[in-house]
Formats: sequence, structure tokens, C-alpha cells
Amino acid sequence: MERIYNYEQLWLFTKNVFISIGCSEEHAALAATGLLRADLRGIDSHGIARLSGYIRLWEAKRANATPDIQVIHETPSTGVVDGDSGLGLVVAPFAMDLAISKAENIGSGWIAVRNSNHFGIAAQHAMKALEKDMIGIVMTNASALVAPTFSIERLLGTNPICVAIPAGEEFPFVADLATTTAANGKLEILQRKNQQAPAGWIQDKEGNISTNPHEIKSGGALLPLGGDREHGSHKGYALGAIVDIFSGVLSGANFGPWVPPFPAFIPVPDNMPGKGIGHFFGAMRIDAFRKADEFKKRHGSVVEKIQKSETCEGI
Amino acid sequence: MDQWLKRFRKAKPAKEFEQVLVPGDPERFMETDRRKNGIPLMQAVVEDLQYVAERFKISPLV
Repeated sequence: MERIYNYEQLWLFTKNVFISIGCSEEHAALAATGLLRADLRGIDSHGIARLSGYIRLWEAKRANATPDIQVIHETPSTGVVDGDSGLGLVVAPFAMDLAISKAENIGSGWIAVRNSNHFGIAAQHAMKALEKDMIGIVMTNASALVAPTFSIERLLGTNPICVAIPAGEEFPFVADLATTTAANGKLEILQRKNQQAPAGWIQDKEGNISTNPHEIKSGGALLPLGGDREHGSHKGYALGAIVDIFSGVLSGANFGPWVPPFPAFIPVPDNMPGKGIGHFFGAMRIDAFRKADEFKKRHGSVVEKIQKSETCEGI
Repeated sequence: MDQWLKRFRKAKPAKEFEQVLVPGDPERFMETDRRKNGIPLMQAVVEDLQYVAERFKISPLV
């Protein structure tokens, strides 16, 4: 059973919840907008369905409602941001803005983030670059659910990559993908409906391909994009690993099996090598390569227009 | 980019499909629809949010 709510109603509710845990008005609005973008775009597992999870993280003192977000290292084109355990929905916009401002100054900006939390959907942050005629690149690691090819250990998160590219009259290119065959949210839907998963999504605790979506709760694992070796899972594993290294190792956040889990009832891993979860943000100015208008428009369109108008005049 | 996007969006679809998409298209269609027609929430999510509303004594969703 479902009920329909309008966006404004959910936004106000979400903002009020964030204010209730102590977020500033500005941060609460930012977090509500970020979270609900997932619901708008149909990524229901990453939207308002997670709000109570955020609250539980805050109750467990694993999410800080009033973070002192700091740039702890920087060059003209790069930087590392420490999110002070803030909501990823607040830390991520800070870091993306910093990447964009560096790109405005010198062509491109690259920011690694540590000590953050779940940031909603990557596209929300990457698409910010579009308004500035920039390409936006966003990655994040997440707690381990995915077994590397040939392994029964869960060592990687679903580790998404988003690349957003601006266009002229066409709608932009926005690829936002988990590096697993199926995003965890899709598996959760099957769990709720008690339906079988297609082969290639998950394996059981012994590494056999399984179609039982509940297997993940009894030692099983999600599979990297591709599913098994024959279908190229080693490539999905490599993509997920790249995201983990950019987000976790480069920033000084946790990585691999040490990334703290989203559900607050699951204890954080022992001997964590870094701080919080990690993200990576990039912004590249189009006109650092070629004129933005030229890039966005159809190649040769100007010439074509002139030719067309000449024909008309000729008649 | 427009030329790239147009070419891929106009790619010849296989017989059981109407249209070839570019990354981001399904999410954009969904966003247009949900901004206009609202966002459906499952009952379990609604109950969870009512609990959150009570917890902080804020106006619940109606």
C-alpha cells in the first residue's frame, strides 16, 4: 500500500526533523533538498525512507548535527575536507562547492572527503557542476556488502560513481551507478516482497550464486557489476575498488571492510584505519578544454544555421 | 554534446523496446512526474515517519 505526498510537504517535514536534531536552518534546508532529490528521481531507497536511519545515527552520536567542516589540506586544484562526522547531505555540498570554486579559478578542482556520512544520491551533488558549464564527478564508499571476485568476504560497498555532463538544448548526460550488478535498494525491495533475485546479484556465504534475496543477511554478499567472472565481475570489482581508494584511502577516511555501517544498531568495526566514510568530488570546466557553447551545441550547428538562412533568403 | 545525445537518443531500438535512453533519462522522467503528481511512500515508511514526528513533537505528515 502506498500514499502520495507532494514534494513541498515532504520537504518541510524533513527540514523540521533536521532542525529538531539541532541542524541550523540552512543545513536543515540543504539536507532536506538533498535527501528528497532521491525520492524525486525514483531512487526511493536513498530518500526519505532513510530519514529515521539518519536520526538513529545521530542518537548513536555517529552523526553530528552541528559539524565544523574544515579544509585540512589544499593546493590550487585539490583539497581534503574533514566533515567532522556531519551529515553527508551537508558535507557533500560543501565539498562540491569547493571543487567548483577551484575549477572556476584554475580549470579543475578535486576534493577528497573524510569523516562524513551517507550523502544521499551522488547525482544530486554532481549535477551542481552543470549550472556552471562544468563536468561533475562524484564517488563515495559505503559499508561493505560486496565480495571481490573469487572471495566470500564482504570488502566493498556498493560504491557509486556519478558523472554529469552539460548539454545545450538536449537534456544533460547524468550517469549515476552503483558498481554492483544491483543496488542494495533493489535487493531490499525483493526482500520485502519475498521475491527471488535474478542470478548474478548475490552469492551465499560459501560463494555460490544465489537467488534468495535474504542470503545477504546470513553471510552472503552482493556481487560486483557483472555478477561472476564469466560476465566480467572482475571489472565491476575494479570499478568499486577505484571508488573505495579515491574516496577512502586518498582522503584518510575508512575503506574496505572498515567503512562504518549505516544502520546505527550495527557496531562500528574495530581498529578503523580512518575517519568516517569517504567521498570524492571533481569539477572540470568545459572551457578549460574548448569553448563551452561549442562543446554543448551540435558540432557544426552554427554553419548549418547560416546555410539554412541563406537558402531562405535566396528564395 | 547535443549531437552526441541526439544520436544516442535516436538509436534504433530493438523490437521489444520503444526508445533508447541516455544515462539520467529514466531519473529525469521520474522527477518530472513526481514533481507534478507527488511522491508515493510505502506504508512502512509512512509509519516510520510518524514515529519520527512523535519523537520530536513536530507536525506529522497527513
